[in-house]
Amino acid sequence: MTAKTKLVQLLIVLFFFGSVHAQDYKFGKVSEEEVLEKQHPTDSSASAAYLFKKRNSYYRYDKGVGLRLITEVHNRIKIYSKDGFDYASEAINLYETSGADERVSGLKGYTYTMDDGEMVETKLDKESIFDTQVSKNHKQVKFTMPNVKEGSVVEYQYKITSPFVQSIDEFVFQHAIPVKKLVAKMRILEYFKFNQRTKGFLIIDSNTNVVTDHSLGINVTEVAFDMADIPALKEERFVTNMDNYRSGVKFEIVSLEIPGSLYEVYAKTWDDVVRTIYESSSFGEELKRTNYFEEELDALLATTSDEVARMFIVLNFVKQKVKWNTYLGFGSDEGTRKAYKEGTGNSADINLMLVSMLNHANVKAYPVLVSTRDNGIPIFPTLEGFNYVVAAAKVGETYQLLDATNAFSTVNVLPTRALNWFGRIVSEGGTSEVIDLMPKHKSMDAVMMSVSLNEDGSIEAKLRQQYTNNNAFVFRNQYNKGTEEAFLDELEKEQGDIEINDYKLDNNLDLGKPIVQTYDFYKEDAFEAIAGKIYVSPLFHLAVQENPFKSESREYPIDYGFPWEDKHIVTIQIPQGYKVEHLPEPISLALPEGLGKFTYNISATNNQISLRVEMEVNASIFPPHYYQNLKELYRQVVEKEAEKVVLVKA
Amino acid sequence: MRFLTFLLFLVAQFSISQNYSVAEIPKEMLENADAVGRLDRMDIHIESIDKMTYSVKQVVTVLNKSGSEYAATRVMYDDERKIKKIEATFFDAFGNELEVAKRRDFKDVAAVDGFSLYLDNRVLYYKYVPTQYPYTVEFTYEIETSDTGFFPPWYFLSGYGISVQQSEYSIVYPSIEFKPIVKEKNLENVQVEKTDIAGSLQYSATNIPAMEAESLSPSFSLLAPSLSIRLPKFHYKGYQAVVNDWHEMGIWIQEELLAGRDVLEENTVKEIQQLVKGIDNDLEKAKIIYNYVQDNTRYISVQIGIGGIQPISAIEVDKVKYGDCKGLTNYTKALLKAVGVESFYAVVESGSAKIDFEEDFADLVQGDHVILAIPYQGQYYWVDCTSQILPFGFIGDFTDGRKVLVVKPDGGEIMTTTSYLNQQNKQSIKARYRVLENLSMKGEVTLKTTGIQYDGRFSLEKGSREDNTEYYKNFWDNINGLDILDFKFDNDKENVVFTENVKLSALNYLSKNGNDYLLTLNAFNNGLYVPPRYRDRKMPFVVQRGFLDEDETIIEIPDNFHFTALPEKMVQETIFGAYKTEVIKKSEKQLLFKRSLQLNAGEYPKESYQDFRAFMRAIAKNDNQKIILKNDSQN
Repeated sequence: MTAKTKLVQLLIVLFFFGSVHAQDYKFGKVSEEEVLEKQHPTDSSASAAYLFKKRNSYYRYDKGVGLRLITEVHNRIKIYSKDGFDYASEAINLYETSGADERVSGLKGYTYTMDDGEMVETKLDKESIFDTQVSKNHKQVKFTMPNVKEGSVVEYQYKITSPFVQSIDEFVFQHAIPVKKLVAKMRILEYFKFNQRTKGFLIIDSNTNVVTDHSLGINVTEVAFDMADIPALKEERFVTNMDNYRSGVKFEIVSLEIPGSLYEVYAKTWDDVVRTIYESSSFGEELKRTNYFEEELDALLATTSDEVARMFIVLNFVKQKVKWNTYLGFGSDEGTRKAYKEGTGNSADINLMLVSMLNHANVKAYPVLVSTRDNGIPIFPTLEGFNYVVAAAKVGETYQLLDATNAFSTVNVLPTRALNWFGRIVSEGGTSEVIDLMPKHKSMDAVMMSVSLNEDGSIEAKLRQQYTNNNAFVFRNQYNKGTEEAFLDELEKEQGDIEINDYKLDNNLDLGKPIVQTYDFYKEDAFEAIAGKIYVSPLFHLAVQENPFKSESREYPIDYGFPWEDKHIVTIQIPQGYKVEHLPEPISLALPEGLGKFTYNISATNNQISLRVEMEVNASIFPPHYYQNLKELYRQVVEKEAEKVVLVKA
Repeated sequence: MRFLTFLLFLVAQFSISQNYSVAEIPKEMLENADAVGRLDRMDIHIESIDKMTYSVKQVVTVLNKSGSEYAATRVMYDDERKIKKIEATFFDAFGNELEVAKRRDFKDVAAVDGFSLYLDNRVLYYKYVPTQYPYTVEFTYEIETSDTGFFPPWYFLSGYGISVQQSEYSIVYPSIEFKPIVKEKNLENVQVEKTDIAGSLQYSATNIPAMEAESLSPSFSLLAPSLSIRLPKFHYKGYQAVVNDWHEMGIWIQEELLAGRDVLEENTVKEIQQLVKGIDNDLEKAKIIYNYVQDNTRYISVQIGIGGIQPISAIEVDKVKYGDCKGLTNYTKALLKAVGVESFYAVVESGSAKIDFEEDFADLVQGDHVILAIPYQGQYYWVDCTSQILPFGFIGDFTDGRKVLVVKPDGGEIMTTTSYLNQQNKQSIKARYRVLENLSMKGEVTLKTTGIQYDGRFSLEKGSREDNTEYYKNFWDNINGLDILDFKFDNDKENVVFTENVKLSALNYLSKNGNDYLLTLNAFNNGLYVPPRYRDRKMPFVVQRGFLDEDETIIEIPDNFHFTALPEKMVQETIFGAYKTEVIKKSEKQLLFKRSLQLNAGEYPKESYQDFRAFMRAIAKNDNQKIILKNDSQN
């Protein structure tokens, strides 16, 4: 190929490229076409869109101040409809400590609006920018753009200067609205070793080059992103945390090797993360402290040498001794000793104490780093990936998970917040292994109900219900929250306005045993009589009333939290003078790969109908490709459970 | 959509250290209670028109987790409201001290109301972690303020679920001109002692049992024993006033807060006049202006100082094209003035529960929102300038049918906003569905709504296709396996009528039970809310707004099926409303199902609750009624 043809090709490419991307993304170069656009070309439901989203993060060195992390932000946002007005406001969160603070500078913005066929530009006034000291360490700069109407394009830019050089905010590439064009750059000093982690369902391309940063006068690693047409992230039901699926990139500084300065490892692999955490004084050191509790605990342990019994003694002791102050964290806040003395502490104060007490009691135990459901799945090996800690006791060859922050949590029944995929078990010295946090055992909800039908369409029934494991955990938290009166009012309402009598609860505080509640109830309008026949849906209010899965399709996993089994056994007394004309057919339905099943069995004798309905779901989390199976299963369950027993006059 | 930024601080207090043991609480104070107010005391000392202190002491025993909300250790402050002292001490069930929180232990954070871009209020709070129940908190604080124009009401009970053993409220004032005016509410069943001597006013109540929340009851604030307090001569955020009644309050708002704020730039005036050029009718002009405001502005709340009750100027709103309810209302008023249409700024208490301004008690506590009143030919049109979508003159259930303060140039006046009466809140359904041989159904429904029912539905127009499809599946959750095939809307804003046309289908709608095929006639208006049963109803109940539903559904069945017995015509007429259904056999394969339900708005005594519930139950039952079809080939 001659040089000339190469040039021609290049020109063609440039020309073609140029004509497709006629957009000018320079600040202030908003085009009339952008303001005139009526709806997003591929997502007509979008109320707004990022036309352009840019972020550059890099380092600067100032004599006297030291190293600073600079982040430049430039957003151009199109507002299509009134629902999109919220995107005309921005809140910038800033962190500060007594010695150092993050600052915003160079904030400017304009709104572009069509007014009588002419494009009008309105400037963001300084008086419309508000600084709030949200709390001691948290400042917020907030503003909203002026003159925003349907169709407006708002554009703003600002710069954040941060002294917290190792803490680089995640690059977020996906939002609740689409992004047409996104460019982002991260420049990291050559002295820094770093990790780059990608999450989400989108394919993210990046270009990494070593370039010279002229201002710093040294080489830096530049990672650049250039993306177009990023779809909106749409909310779905039964997702714990949509952020798990939001596309983005996280940079974490692994080590600093500034010549002449100290070498510090932050994180690289999961093992590094764990080692870093382990070596921090608020973690590893806390595990070693034992003298503050020895005396009291030893007295309790003197009664038994059985390992399992000792495990329970320690768990109960911690729960009774220290209450959770609702603060999360894997690092001890005030220290375990202080928490022990004052009776309150964060999750680490409590569960690290639990670990050291277990070890003291000769039950081999380890801390388990966890990311709570609200914190998202720990996708990247970073310190922020974890925000919680529980304990694992090794009894025989198996690990038992324990958490003393909740009065009703017990061995292998963790609070719901901790049920989030995987955790890392931390061994002495800071090595680690993965542990599955999702419960393996099913949580039961077993009901036995015996019903008699009254002539007026009401029923009287006796019910016995048993909850195990996580179902019992949920129940205990609910029941013990307020008065029994309030609980029963709620139960009566929730069960379709039944009237409860002779309520009795067993094992409320005996966590080793299932919850058992028994009561009698009365319910109006529970079945129908048409033309001399009686039609009864034999599960009454226990039936699944509607399909929880309403949307046509599904993109993200369905999260039940834990596997479960509902077992409903109902006997119905056939009223005097009636006999069975029709019983629903028994059926059995199953999800693929043994992930779940539903069985419905019914039979009748002269005076009584017996029904046994079981439904089980054997996984905590379902990948989205099972969605249609689940939806169809529920459709058939609702249909089956609505079916009637027909009774006629004998 | 708030107007005033005052957040209620229903906190209470008391005096000498005493025995906080739980054993000291009388048994009857524990009934229905999650918490017990052992002592709830506020001492107010008015020193001058712009100086006043509140000393508060509140001792609450929290019996269980739900009770913690009554023991929040938090106080709001701002530039005019300074916290001089604050301290909390916590005790166990036996009255032994557990923990003391001093001022330095309290956190200082910005107040958040969930909708404002910026607020200047701040909060001091201490987060206590209960290590046991019950526990008791003794919370004391002192506030000094220059705002004598805003007295939070005194509630002898701060909510459902708390009883109070001792409630003390006192005001000391320097001279007769500062004697507060007090309005007593719902004190009939409370043991209260009142001491009214020169320079001092005191209320003291003992052993007030907890109230229990009941469905459909009037708002707590209307039922609870409380005091409203005001000073006729007051100072507020740097302004002074003498207000004896609403007339004078109106004058003060007009002169101090609104005057001069309705000026617009010359250009804007010209542009606006151009908009209504050639139109003489004031109402037509008002519609055009309202439309203009809806298309060109949006709601953004910023509350700083007097800005909590004073609008930002029309010029400013015109520049930035946003504002809160005060700013947008004042702006609209200014635009109307520019085209020669008179309108009035009106302060209202918003929300779906209707709360009236009290005619005999003019204070700044009432009202949290502002709308605009436009007089035209002896009638008033009310508009909410914060909504970009409501039709002109339609205010929905946010501000309807209640007494509001209308600020007229010659004084304030209490007037009632538009009420949407029973039949005006109408929904009519015309539907047709066909049952197919495979037992599924396919049909089409047309819903037309007006009045409050319009308010509940017209925003569907803005929803995405996916959201609306899901909405209908929930709306008709009585139909299993429902599929929404298509829908379209027509929003007639002029006449305030919203029309929905929905095409749908459902698998196995006809349910086979042996040889009987059960068909629920009423497919599209089924699922009436039946209020819960009470063994012993204690409070009256309110139907805030009535409505009228009229449905006609044509039902066709497959050729190889036939009807068996059809239900009789049903008519139920009560003071609560009227319900009728009728099934008309149009042919061997076609039925017409007619249904109408009118529910009457009103406040009813507790004795009627049983009857009301029986009426609703009868309707729900009949709505769910099924007929039996037989397959010709089976018998």
